Amino acid sequence: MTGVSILGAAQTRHVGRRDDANYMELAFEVVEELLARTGWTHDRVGTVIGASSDFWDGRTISEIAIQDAAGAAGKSASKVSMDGAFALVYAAARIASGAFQTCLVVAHGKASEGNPRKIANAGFDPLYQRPLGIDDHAALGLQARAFLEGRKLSPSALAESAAQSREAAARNPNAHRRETRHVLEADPLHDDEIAPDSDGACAVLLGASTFGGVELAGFGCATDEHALGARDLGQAGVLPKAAQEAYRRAGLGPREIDVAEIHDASSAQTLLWREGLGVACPVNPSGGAMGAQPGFATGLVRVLEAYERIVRGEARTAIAHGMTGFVGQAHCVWILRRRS
Amino acid sequence: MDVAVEGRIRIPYRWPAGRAGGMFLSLLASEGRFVGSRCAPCRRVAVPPTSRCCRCHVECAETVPVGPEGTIVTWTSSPAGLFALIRLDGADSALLHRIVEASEVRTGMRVAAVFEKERKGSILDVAGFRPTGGVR
Repeated sequence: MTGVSILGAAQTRHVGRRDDANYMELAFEVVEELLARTGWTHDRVGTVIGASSDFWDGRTISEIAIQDAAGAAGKSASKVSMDGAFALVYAAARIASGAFQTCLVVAHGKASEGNPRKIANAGFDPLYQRPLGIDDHAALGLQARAFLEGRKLSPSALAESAAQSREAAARNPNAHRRETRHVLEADPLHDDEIAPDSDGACAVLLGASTFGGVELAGFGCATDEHALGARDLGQAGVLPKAAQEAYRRAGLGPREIDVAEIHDASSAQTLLWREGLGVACPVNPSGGAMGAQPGFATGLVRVLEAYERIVRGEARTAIAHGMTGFVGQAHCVWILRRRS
Repeated sequence: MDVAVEGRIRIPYRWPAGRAGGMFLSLLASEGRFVGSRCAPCRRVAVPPTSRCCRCHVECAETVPVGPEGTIVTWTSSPAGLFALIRLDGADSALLHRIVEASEVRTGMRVAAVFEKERKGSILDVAGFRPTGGVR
């Protein structure tokens, strides 16, 4: 029980390239839609948290550009340089502290502005890993092989998992439609077994539970060591720890979860993170991150998808999972619950 | 009309390697050998070495020689290169590096470091790791 609810959410359609809008305009799109849907107005929103990456945006303190869109002028606004699912922890804490009644969380990703692989390379430590030229896709390949070989699975498991995500994404009007050729990208992963680089944004409005909404029943976060060689990449790492914390705080077990939306940067991660969460429910009916990966908005979109399933009455409880860092260095698990 | 402004950010940096990292990189350069740090409480040998154990949070006073041979833990071939995590002999953590001079790569293959002739104290003083023909 956090005493905090989700009052509304909105996302853009996610595409490979949005040349018609800058990232501030992406933020405007989701904030305006959220306010229009919920009937809330900026003057009633207490505080604002952004999630953005300076490296992705190519400018420092990059959330400055989305603060105007988020209605931050005159308010206490802050940011995390992590996925939006983690920004939600910050936002919920601001409400749980009693300092604020409501908080707007805005996250965006505009992969088309830069070179995603070079930006990823810059995320590795500059002494031992970055000079080798490693990037996110190569790290996903290292993980996928460790996963397959550790469980004696055939590479077809990756293709089957990706096909399921593709089918789900095809039913999601907001998913990123892209051309893939099923060619090896980061052996054993093919291009269609790796999540796309998308342009998109997402906004979520949190409020004290007195406002109603969908309950944020619990969360758990855990961070692992940065160096790829310090972790067992074939395992779910610290995800089970984050999940256990979330289950404990929510007073729910994994078998009581109706649907899970997980941040899967590869089809190996779809399988591995499902195992790490311990759930047996449907996973990623939206297509997950394999269906659209708009930078630091990706995990927040998982929260939105989980929230909307509950609002539509398709689920009573849901997990939303976000991730930051390479191949699951840090995980954030949210449990959402319909108010009875 | 969609207008985009193009740019490129180039900013030079200088990253001191620190105490443990400085020792690691200077030994690569001067002697062409690898060292790790051993944590006294958990006995874990980290490569590259760290001045403190990331798990026990105590100073790692013991430096131990590791490698230059090791075993491939996992690997990938991607547009960015042929990479592997290599557990050097005597180490607990694995080192990320490139695989070179290989006609095929398999997990469990034994590999040995190929050192550059001219070394300057960088992870790139090692050109990569080549298969020795053995398997573990």
